[in-house]
Amino acid sequence: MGEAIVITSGKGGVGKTTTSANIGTALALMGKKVCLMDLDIGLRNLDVVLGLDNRIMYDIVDVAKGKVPLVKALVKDKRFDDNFYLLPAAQNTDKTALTEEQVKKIVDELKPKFDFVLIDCPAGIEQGFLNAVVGADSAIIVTTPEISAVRDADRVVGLLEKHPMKEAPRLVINRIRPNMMDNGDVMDVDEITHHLGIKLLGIVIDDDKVISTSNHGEPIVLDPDNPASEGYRNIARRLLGETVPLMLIKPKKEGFWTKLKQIFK
Amino acid sequence: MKSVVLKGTQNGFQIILDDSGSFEDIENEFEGLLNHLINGKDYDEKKRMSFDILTGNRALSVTQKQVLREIVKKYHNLTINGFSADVMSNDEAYHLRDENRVTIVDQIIRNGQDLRVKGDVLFLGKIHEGGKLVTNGNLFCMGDVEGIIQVGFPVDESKLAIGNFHNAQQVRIGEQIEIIADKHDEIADDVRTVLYVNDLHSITYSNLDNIKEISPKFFSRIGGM
Repeated sequence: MGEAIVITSGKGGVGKTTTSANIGTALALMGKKVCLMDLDIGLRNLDVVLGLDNRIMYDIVDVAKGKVPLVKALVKDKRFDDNFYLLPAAQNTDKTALTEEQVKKIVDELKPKFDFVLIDCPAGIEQGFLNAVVGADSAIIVTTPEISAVRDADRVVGLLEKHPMKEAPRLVINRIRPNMMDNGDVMDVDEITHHLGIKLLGIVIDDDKVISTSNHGEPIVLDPDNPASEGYRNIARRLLGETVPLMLIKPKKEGFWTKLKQIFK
Repeated sequence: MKSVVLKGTQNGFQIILDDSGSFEDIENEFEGLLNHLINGKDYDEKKRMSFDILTGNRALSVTQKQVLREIVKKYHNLTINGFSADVMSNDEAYHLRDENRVTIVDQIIRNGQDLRVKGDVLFLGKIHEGGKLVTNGNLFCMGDVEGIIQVGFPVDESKLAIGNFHNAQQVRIGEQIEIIADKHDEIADDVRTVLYVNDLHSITYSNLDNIKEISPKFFSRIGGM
């Protein structure tokens, strides 16, 4: 029986979809069978980030309404043998198209077939959020070092505590800019973790390549040398129970030649 | 055995109602007793008489009390002082307990959460920005407050908030509201701070050393020296 994990944040734009795609890909690379569920109905992106948008035939609303069996709606990612599937969201309706019971039924149907079912939650705390958390065994809260994102994360942790899951929520701090954190312009990792009072699952450094690779439909974890990729891989390893030390946040030091280059730019 | 017994004590007359008899019997015997009393030879019409009614291990309902009161009303110089019983209803007991206890709260109140407590609160947890702790009693705070607290809810301005509220967003006492964030520098970063409503109905703050002047009633209750 697999584990269903919802990836949520409250605030939009902190990187829920990117985190879902990358953790999912990292787990698949480690040989685990993973299904990603996109619940951002009406504004689906997960398929684009994974480069699977051209292959969608049916979506989660079709499955919930009983139009097609679940297996027909799953989109297989050929890069990972038989390990990686996506259940896409519907694009022509909105978040109220699904009920909590319908989503729970689909999650329960997926869990025995996969090691991990990752649920990509839409932003906000309305019906879409309720749908996403109902079937999950645990939650990953994504935040960035911004105060507004931390506030919303706090709100979401509060909502999740009302209906406790099997496991307490865990935190991923995304889009860390080492220089700003080093200068004290934003809250640092310890401050955020201490403030929210939940366990830290991992940190991810902000990197331009995260955006450029996802524009080609390739999650950043496929690049083994990237610092953001290392963050996601570490998270995946921790999910599998390994003890991995937190990566060091090193501010980029500009060398003599880079400075010189910038002058002549 | 009689269900209703009249007894004279140093403190006046008592009518003791047997708690094992039925209320109908009591009603009849009660009226009989009063009749017997006014027809007695020692009875003086000009002298007023009043009774305490003791009900033992029976708590009379409001309507039962009303029935007995109606009976007594028929006799113009008799009155009932009050009812007392050795027992009380669960509702009364809970109310009494809630009014007088100190509730210990040790939890994180997160953004958007709103915790309501009855009576005095000893707060050991943490209130995040956007979180709210509301009580009708006093608040003794040893935890971190970065959100909103409200004491004396909804309108009691005699309640106090004691603790470090340096980082709070707002403190509300009764109907008065103070935006602490605007007075950040004035309110000391000290756990011995008292916030209260002064005679001008505005929230002000002082040190715990002055609590005797701020609220003598509260001071005597906590047994300070």
